[in-house]
Amino acid sequence: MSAVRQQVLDLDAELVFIGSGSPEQAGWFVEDFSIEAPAYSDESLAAYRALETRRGLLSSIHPRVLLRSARALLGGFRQTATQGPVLQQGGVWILLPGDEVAYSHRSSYAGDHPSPDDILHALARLRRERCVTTVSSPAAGTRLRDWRA
Amino acid sequence: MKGPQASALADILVTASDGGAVRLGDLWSNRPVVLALLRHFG
Repeated sequence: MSAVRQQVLDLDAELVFIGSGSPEQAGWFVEDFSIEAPAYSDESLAAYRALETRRGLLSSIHPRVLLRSARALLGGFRQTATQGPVLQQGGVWILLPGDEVAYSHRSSYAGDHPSPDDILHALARLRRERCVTTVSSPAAGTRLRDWRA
Repeated sequence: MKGPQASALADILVTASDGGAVRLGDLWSNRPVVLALLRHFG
């Protein structure tokens, strides 16, 4: 996901990572993987509960996990020591101003990620359909967008 | 999803690596956010 951050920014959005590890581990994550997007710690798992993410052994030993793991290994990705509850699944959501969830992908098992293209297409569609007000501010040279439509 | 559940999400506090608390809803108050909840850091 971090590879598409610039494309997310180009669509007037931001990419944010939340992990279940400690704040210190969030810092290591950003440093070790050269992540430019902001990353935050949610040790209480409150966001995971609010978004009803999956958690448990079955979601971690799903047969597709082996396939996804093999694919990741062949792609050069190596999982390091886990930093957070190992049975916790995650997902990807798009949140809009006004506290609206406009897209959701709740991971069913480890490695169940939406494709970056899906996310970018969803953002582009939302920008086209929902960002209706663009006000130029010549003096400041800035653009103001209204996402609350 | 909109309403109480989304509002509850917005009020959750997460912690930056410098220890500062951030209200989730502030992250998407003026632009969309792609929120990636990780299985784990690392």
